[in-house]
Amino acid sequence: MRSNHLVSVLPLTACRWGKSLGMALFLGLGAVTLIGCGSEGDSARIAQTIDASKNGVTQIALKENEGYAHFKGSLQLNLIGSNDQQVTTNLNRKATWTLSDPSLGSIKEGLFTAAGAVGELIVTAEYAGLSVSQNLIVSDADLESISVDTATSAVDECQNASFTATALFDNGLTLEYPLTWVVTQGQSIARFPDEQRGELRTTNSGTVQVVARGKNNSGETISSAPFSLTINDSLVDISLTSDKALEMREGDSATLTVTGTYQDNHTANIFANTTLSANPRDAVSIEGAKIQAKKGSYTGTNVVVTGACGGLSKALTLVVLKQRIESIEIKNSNGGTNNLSVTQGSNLELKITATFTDNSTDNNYTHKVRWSIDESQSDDFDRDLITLDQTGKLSVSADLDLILNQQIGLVVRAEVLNDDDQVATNPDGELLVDEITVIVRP
Amino acid sequence: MSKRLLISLCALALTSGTQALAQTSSSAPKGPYLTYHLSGQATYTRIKSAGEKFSPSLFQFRADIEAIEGPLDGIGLQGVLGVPISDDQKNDLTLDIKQQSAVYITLSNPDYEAGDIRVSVLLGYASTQLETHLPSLGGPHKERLKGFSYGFSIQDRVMEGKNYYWAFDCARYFKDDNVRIDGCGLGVSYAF
Repeated sequence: MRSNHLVSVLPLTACRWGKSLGMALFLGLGAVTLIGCGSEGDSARIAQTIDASKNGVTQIALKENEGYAHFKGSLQLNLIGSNDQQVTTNLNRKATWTLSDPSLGSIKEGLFTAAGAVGELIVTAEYAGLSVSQNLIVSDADLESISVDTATSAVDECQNASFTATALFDNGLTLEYPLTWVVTQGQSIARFPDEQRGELRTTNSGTVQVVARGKNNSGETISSAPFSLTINDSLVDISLTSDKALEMREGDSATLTVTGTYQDNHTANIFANTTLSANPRDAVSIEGAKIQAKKGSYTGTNVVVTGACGGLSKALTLVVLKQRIESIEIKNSNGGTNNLSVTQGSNLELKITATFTDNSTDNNYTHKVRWSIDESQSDDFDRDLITLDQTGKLSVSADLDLILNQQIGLVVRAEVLNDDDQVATNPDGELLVDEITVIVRP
Repeated sequence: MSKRLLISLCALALTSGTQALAQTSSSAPKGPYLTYHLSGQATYTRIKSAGEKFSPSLFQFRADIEAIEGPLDGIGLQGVLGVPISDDQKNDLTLDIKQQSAVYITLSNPDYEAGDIRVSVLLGYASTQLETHLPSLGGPHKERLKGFSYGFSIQDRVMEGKNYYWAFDCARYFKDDNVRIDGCGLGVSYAF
């Protein structure tokens, strides 16, 4: 009794409340008002104090820095916490950062990003009640020169090389500054996928020249001296593999991996540096490492996927099949399934509509279909005068002599066969068979 | 700001309630239109922050007024005042709830009858004063966290013919990106 009542509490309540639209509006308005109030209180201070209890931080300090940022650039500040044993930890993400003059920029997790205005401000970082501040000058110093820095002057082909650059300004300082990266020589063997980042992606051996560029306050482009990078011809083999079976059905997807083997026998995933192609192109789509089967056939379409890098290539042959059949249905050429009949001296063309697992259909499915007349369910008939071929064409000879109103009922059966010429099944294990009754009339 | 909001909400609810009850009184015959409850509950809290969980406990006093006739049938107003029972400690940090207050609009089954289990939804505003004390960082620090609060209440009569009820309430008192405060309390309620 009580449990029944519990179940009915909310619907009944809603029903009763529904009687008063004004009341519902009042409650809705009240709830929205409450939610809209948001939260108040320095919850970050609570979280920081709990964090400090775990990492033992008792002191904080800002890591030494220039104290300058360019009005077009940014400056990464670092808040370092230390415990009694002077073990340090970076608190950038946990601290609360504030600027004395938000019109000069914004700060998130210690990264000050200038807003394009010049001035001086105070940056304050707070953590668990501890506080530290520093002055920051947002300067309009003019870009004077750029120099490219990198740890190495050579890289293996089909590998990436990372570059950094130093921007020198007319006040003698080097500041973080927005730069773009360009390959000035050897664009066919290496490129920067993102010009804002100094990550060079190589695709073949040779020599490339790289420069970093930035615009000074007058809008003139300042370029670094070209940096020459040798890309070693060290790749000896590549392999292309899929994480799924090579036989795919339309809609299936798989992840491709390209592995390179180098002269010193070390291997590396070089997928990002590899050029992938497929033939025929419309049979699959390739997005990043994901390959998806798009257009197959009942017998299976061979698709050759080729990965190439460093002058080497490897092919992987996939077979793309149509989706599995969920069911079949026999219809006449007009799509009808009821009261099918054929008169003596004429033909009836039957077709199969196949429905696939994605609910798409093929209204003229012909692959490996076996047609027959089920004599055990049909009236007696002369096999020489009534025939059914393997295209589904039911022919009744003009020599068939039916008297007035005489009819012969035939049960026509269609079966989809598998590669072993057995009746195929759908994904649920059901036989792919259909039967239909056709009446032969005078 | 939040005090003004609380006062405004109370005033709004009471004004609306009074008006609706006045309308009811003019059209309906005699009868009790309001019911009052007072309850006391021991409340177990769960405070999650910075990957840690603390469970200080509270004693909550709850008082509510609820309409039992007319267009406001099943709707009430509840005030909550919580006082500390015990704190919780982890990693040398003591965390305590020094004080808690909340006000809720309560939505109960209008067809509630004596003997039924009374289920209410709570929608409101809560203010929780937390005190943290980590000796390595100095003295204790109090911080009041306020915001939207919601929950539910289940009450059932202790004994036939008596106005005492078991009461079980759960609520979320605060939640933002840094701190989450939840609590469940068990106690006794008396209906007037």
